[in-house]
Amino acid sequence: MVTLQSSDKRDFQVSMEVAKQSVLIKNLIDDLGETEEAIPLPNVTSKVLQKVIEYCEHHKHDPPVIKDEYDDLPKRSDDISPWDEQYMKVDQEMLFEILLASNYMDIKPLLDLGCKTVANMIRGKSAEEIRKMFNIVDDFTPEEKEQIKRENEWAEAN
Amino acid sequence: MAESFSRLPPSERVAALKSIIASLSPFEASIAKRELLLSNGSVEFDLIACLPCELIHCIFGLLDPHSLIECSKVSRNWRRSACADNVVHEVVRTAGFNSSSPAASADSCDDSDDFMLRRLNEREERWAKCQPVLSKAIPIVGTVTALALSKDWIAASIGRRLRAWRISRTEVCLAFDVWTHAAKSIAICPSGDHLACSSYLRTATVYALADSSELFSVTSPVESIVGVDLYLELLAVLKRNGSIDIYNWKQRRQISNIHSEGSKVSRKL
Repeated sequence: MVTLQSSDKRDFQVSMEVAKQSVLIKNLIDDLGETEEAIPLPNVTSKVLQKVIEYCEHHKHDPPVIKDEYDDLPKRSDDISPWDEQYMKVDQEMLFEILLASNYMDIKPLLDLGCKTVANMIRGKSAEEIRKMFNIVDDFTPEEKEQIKRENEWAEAN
Repeated sequence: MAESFSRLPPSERVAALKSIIASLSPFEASIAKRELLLSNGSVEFDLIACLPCELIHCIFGLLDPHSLIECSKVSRNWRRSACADNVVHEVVRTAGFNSSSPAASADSCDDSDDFMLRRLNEREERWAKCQPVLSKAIPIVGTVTALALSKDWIAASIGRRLRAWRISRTEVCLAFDVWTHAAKSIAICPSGDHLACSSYLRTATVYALADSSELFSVTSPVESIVGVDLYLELLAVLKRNGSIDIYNWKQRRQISNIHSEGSKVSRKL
């Protein structure tokens, strides 16, 4: 077992195979050997760490991703499993936290899943719908707006 | 820390702030951006504004060209990310990959993985070459529905225009431009003389790249044409039911029809 400690000093006991899905932790353990001490994760709160562990628990039997093998092929985003989709049904702040935590802890499949989820939220929406969904203020100047309109004019005319 | 900061004289606060910002890791910078946004009561949480650049590029790279163009119209911040070279490259690469010609799909039935791999590598090299054109083309145009590459050419169906650029060592210039219906697939003859496209109107047409003239057209009223490939005088047309018709477009006649033997088509051609 490995103990992970969140930024708010809560300890989480997980099995080695769960912990090692994080390349950050895997490298730490490989370098330092197995340790009784808790591994501190100063950038991850307990709320987020719990959520991340839930993912790693579910995916602990997945075959390891072989790097380079898929790098050549374009990534798809329509291949999310039902469990993953359900897992990602969180508010945008949590989604943000998961993206940051998986990036920091270097959990590639979870990072990919987060990116795909956001891409799927954006896909097929108009600029105005996107602004609404992400609470974005349109900050283009009238001149810039005119330019964008011109650039897209002939495409929209058809 | 916060306390000692608040005790600083105003003249030193900005300098202190700058040195703190300079020392932030990408992760901490994201958190800082979020806290600033949230502390400003009028603005709600903007996920994309807070994420590190590399993650935004990763997300945008998963989009189709049309969605990417919408993203570029959202805000200045989004426009910067949506027009980043590596994002446009990834989106175009995916769009091109998905519009593979029937020869490519026939190859995939072939046992020869080597051949597929070689084809992919060649494709990759050419993408690297055509990036400057597409970076310019994509932000200003509509939906890219199909792409094709050959040694010296890149062709794209953009909105209702079919365009092809000649790729030389030093530059890429627009050399072919016709109005047509949105294309489903495009093929360029290896000799670089002709181009064929299948449209959403279930037709397939052969053009001369030199003068944009239309040379031959297949209209199939019953079945829809989903892909084309071109080799010298031969035009292969892939239909929805999986069968492939082969025409000699110079002689304007059909020479054969292949059922479920897709894997052999590229060799016959």
